Amino acid sequence: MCDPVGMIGLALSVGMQAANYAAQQDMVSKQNEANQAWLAYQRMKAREETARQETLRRQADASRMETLNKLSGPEQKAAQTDEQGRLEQDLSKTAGLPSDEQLAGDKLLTSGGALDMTNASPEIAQDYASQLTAASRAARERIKNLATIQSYGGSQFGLGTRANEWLTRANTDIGFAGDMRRGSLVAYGAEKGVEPLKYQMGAGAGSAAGIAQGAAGMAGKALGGALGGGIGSF
Amino acid sequence: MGGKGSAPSNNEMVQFEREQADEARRKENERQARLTKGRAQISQIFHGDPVTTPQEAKLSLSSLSGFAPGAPTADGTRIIGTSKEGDTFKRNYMPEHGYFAGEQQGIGDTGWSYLSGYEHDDPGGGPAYLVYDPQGNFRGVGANWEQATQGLEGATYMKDTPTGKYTNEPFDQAFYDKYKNAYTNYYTPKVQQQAHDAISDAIYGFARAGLRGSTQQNTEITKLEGQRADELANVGNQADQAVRQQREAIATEEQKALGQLQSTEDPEVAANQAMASRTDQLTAAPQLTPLGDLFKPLVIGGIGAYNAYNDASYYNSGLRANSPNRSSGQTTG
Repeated sequence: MCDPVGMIGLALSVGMQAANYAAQQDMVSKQNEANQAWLAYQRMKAREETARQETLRRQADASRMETLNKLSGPEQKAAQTDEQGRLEQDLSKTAGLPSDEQLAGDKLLTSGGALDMTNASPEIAQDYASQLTAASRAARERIKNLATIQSYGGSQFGLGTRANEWLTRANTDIGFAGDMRRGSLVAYGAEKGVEPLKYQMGAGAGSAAGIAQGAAGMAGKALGGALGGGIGSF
Repeated sequence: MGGKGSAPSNNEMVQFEREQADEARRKENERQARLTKGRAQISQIFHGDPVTTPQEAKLSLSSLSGFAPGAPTADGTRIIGTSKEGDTFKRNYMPEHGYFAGEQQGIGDTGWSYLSGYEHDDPGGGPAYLVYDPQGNFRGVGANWEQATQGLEGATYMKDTPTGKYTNEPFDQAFYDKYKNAYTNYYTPKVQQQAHDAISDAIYGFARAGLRGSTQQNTEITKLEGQRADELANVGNQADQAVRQQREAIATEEQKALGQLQSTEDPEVAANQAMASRTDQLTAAPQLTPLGDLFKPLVIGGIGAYNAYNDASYYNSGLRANSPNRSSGQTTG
């Protein structure tokens, strides 16, 4: 004959096991959701950081490319030609060289000039005028060469000055972008350090399982005894 | 029967970590904003703060550069464009469109910006192209580039145009020209005076030697004239180099201010340093040195005159006159 107590105990045991399994499944499900949420968060932060880094990298690269273009051969040659022209004009003006070579002699031949040639013989006056014109032409040629030399380096807008200015500008832009990128990476490190939620079984679940196991054991023993007695009675 | 359900064991810790991550990102954004503001302040101090006025201009889609209007990437992330000027982006909520969108600031002269992609924060959002004019005003949106820019080619917008005036005067070319002119105006009269004196001495010397109006006089005078032109050109060259040094000094001061900005991340401190440096440069005096003797004095006929005096003196005293070939009448110089 079956022992009702045993049956109840068996049912209790099975029920308890089922509840335990359900709790475990619930935990697994919730943990999976937490992991998915964490992955989504990490992916979002990674995408944002990648975009920030790329934007800043492009800023730095744009500045670098602009400087490279400015230092290219054609640009440098054009800059040198412009600077040579500017210096020639500027230095000639400072030197007091007239634009018309003939005027150089005429200015000093007039009465009251530094060298009054009004009473000189025509031959002497002509000799002076031609020598002065030659001297002016030679001076202008020397100034032109001086302007050429300075345009390659030490003048206001010479190649040396120009290259230094563009490289400094690019260095500043690149350094600035690099500083931003480093700072952003530090903040991203904090974002990467966020952990996923970790689920564990509920506080009463373990003790209920233990009680269920104990009750099931007692029921099992009672059932076994009842069965054995029943079998023996047959 | 089954006891309590599962619960996260590290909920508070994860919350704290998220707060810390958000705080770190917020602080970094603030730091970058301070750096950007500080850099703009330093640029205004050294390069001027131009006064602009809005003027009507026409939009030109063909002038767009640095962008690649294409499909979103495979995982649906945002395609962020960057103009040639390297402008930065910030996120901004667009309530009229119902999703977070990106916005580009500080667009270049004819550059456009756009942002395509969709926001992960809005599961219902789809790909969208947003178009902004060079002033940063929103002008269009669409599912693709053509839709977003429809009707915008040639449309007008108000462009901030420089007026040539500044609220903060820059170190401009007029500033450096003033320095250069002061330099040349200081030295040029000295050179002219020395040249004039040398030419006058030469003329008088030739006159004393009885060679006034000779071709030899012409040769010496024209040599001195050529030398005068060379010395004046040299003054101009030195003035130009002095200006170059001044430019470099000002550029160095600007770099120091920028370096201090990055060190301190306090734009106000760097701006004060920049103002102090600017004041120093504005009051810096040029280093002027004495010219020295540029033109060697011509000793013309001096020995001859002395010898003539001696001859007369010896003759008068009955002594033998000096031989005629004793450096009499020779020109030196």
